[in-house]
Amino acid sequence: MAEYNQAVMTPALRRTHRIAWFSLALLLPVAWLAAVLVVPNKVCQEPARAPRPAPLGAIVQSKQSENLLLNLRSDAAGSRHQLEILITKPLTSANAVVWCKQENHPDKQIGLLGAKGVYRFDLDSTAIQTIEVTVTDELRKQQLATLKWDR
Amino acid sequence: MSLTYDSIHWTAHKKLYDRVLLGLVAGYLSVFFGLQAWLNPASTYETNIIRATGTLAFFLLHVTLCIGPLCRLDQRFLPLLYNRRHLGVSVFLIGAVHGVFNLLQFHSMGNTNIFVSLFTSNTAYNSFVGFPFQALGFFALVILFLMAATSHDFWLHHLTPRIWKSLHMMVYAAYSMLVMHVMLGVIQLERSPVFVALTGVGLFTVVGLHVAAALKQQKTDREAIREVVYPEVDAFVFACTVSEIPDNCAKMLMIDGQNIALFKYQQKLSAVHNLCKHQNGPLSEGRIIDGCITCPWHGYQYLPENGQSPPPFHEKLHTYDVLLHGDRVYVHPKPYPEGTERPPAIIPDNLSSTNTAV
Repeated sequence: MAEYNQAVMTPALRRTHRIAWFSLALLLPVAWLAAVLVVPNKVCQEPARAPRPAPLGAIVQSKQSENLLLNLRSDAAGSRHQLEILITKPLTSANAVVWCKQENHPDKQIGLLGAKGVYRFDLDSTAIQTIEVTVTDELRKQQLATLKWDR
Repeated sequence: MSLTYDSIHWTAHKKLYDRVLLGLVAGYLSVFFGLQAWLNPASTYETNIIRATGTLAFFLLHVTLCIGPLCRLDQRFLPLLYNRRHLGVSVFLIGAVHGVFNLLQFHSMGNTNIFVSLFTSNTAYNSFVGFPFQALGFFALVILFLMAATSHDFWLHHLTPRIWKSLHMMVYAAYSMLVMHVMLGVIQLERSPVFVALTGVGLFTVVGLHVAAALKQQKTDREAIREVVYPEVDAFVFACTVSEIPDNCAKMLMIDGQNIALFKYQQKLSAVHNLCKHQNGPLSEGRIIDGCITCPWHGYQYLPENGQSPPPFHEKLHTYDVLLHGDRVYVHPKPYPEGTERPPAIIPDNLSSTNTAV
């Protein structure tokens, strides 16, 4: 009889099924609807890096290093300035950071260099009396290139 | 029905079932890869595999979950039930390919263990919209693995039907997790309403069928209950009249906690325990075929007079005494030991039934 009593479970199992599905019939549609309501209206995906700005018209100073050509560019009125870096030979540094110091402002990281190509960074146009650019390998603690400009 | 444990007891029906299943899987993957190549040529092979196997496993899980309630609502779907376990194992295998490729693509490129990465790359566990949906998929896959690994009759026998059934009911938890895995994952990134509509149709179909089948079963169970209020003849309990049972079919009874199947066959009436020894299938929903009670789920057979499976099989059911008074049928709710021969109640010629099972 003990074995028999254990086996008398199908009505109980059916009841469990019923309770399970009546519960799921309430919970799952609510969860489904909640998930639908939080779907964003549009997919927001920020670009990994800002689009490269167009080059300003005049090159006011240049400096060539082993791998890099640094150009300081300006517009015709001299009110906007821009740093342009051309990687002429692939860098051996995994982590090349571009630092810029304008007048008395502290050093600021303005970008990273990676694959061979052209990089441009807009500079703060309110502090252009002195501009000092340094490219460093932060892992090896090496200076890869520098450019200093005094107006 | 098999006497010994085979890895798979192949029958012509199972072979046909698996061929159709294999054809559907191959067809789906071919169409999916073709469409991806045409509509989204930039997509990588890895991404295509992830998408194809994810959608296919999710679709097949819906099919698997619909078979049970469909069979309870309409017995014409029963042939789909006989080999449902192969369908379930296929869902796990296809889902596992999806899971492995996801782990490789999204969690194997760093210096962190892939499983640590899986659970720590997104820790917004207290957020709804940002919930780590990959973790939901992982736990659902673990449940599907447990079910696939214990799907053989070997485990059914050793775990006992009660534990085995309880374990396999965890598929409902797995299904719930997978619905949210999809809704909080890919649906948040896709802008097409088609995907939302498809998941909604799938969800409401599965839930609707299960609720409809549960309501129908609840009604049947209530009708089957015979309270021992009027022990009209000794401790026998009135079950029904002879004409209420179609030939070669049964009426399910619930008397004093006993779940009984009362069969009418060859001008005789016999009662056995209603639960099949294989997976507790409802024998009262089966029929007498070749003189044997035949379970509607997987075809296990028993002789109605003694509840024994015909040789060389060993399964046995409890039997009950049946009494006929006029056209009124009474059943004694005390079960005899399994396999005990009990003389059937003989239906006189003047009560010959005109009912015939369809």
